[in-house]
Amino acid sequence: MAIGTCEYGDLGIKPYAQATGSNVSSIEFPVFTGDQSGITMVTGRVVPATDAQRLLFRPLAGTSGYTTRYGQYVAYSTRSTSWFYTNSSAYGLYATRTQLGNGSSEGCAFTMYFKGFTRFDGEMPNYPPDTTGAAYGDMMFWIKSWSEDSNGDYFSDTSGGRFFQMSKDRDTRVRMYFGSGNIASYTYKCHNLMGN
Amino acid sequence: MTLGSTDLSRYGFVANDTIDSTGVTSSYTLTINNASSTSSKAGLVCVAGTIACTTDSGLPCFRLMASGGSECNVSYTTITGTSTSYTYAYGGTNKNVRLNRYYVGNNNAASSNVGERVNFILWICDQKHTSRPFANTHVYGMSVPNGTNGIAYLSHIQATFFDDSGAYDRQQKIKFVDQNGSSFQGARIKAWQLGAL
Repeated sequence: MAIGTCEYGDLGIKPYAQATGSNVSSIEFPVFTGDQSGITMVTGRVVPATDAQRLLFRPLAGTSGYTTRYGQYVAYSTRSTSWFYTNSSAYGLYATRTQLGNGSSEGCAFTMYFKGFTRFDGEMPNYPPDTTGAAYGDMMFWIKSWSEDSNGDYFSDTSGGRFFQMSKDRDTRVRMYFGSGNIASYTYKCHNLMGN
Repeated sequence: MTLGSTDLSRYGFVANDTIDSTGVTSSYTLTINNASSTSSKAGLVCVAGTIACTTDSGLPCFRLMASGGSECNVSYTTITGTSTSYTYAYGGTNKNVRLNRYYVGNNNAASSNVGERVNFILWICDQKHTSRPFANTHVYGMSVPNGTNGIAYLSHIQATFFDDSGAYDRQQKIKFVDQNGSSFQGARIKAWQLGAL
């Protein structure tokens, strides 16, 4: 079925980007382009090449320079009483609290939601001042995942937070990687649920 | 495209309403559904955005409103994933659903270099309730507030708006208020709908 310039699959929303592969140091996928300010959903699965690795991600913002951006986040697991977070600034944030296993049935299946804002300058009165005077964007994220760790135990992880001072043009990619070692195998699909 | 049509947008969801405000106000209200139109009733609604509070102890909540502005009763639980702490209400005449467990700081506090506020994504599953047993409108979602100490917390929200009398039509507006009556300092919120029943 074709509607306008975008085709819909039987289930309604066709992925705008998808890939499957193996043995890479990291993967990248686009989450926002241009002035898009809706919600992007990314689903997929990753398996680390090295045992006991947590999944990390970071945005690569802007069309020039691939500058990484700071973020705040919280990540926790159903099987742990401690949680990861940062309340100041960090580049790479944890998508999973669990240390994933590298077995054939291990790894992590995830659904990520990214919500972007076009501009943030002047949006909020008394917003912490932007010392550069640039018009920065803002990106929120929520991640739900299901993992099998290095001991074969199952976990449900959640991570949520926000990247800030994104590039003003908001042409933004996300890079995913593990703390150490390669990605043994991966698959992902990116869905743009809403336009602007 | 306009609400009232069953056409799909390019991206599947159709935008219904937007709040983009930098003025101090006591509430924000968005249209999330069209209860009077058979062809445009939404099966699934997404509401996402960010709200900043004027006080250092903000407790943003949301309500659902049926035809004529009637606010529906709700039972809910909001759990902070990073502890065993939660807040809830059930039965009675409670109208509010807390977006987060802990206070949201005021936006201009210097303790957070990203601005203290609450970011949220809500999924609203609208259902029919024309006869007993009355089905209810279910809402679930997550929020990430920045508290007065600048820490990012993460909350899970589960709510059921119930109607024991069948007097209410489908929920067609969502209203954000502070539990203690404090004002908001700014917000950017958007509502989309998917499908029609």
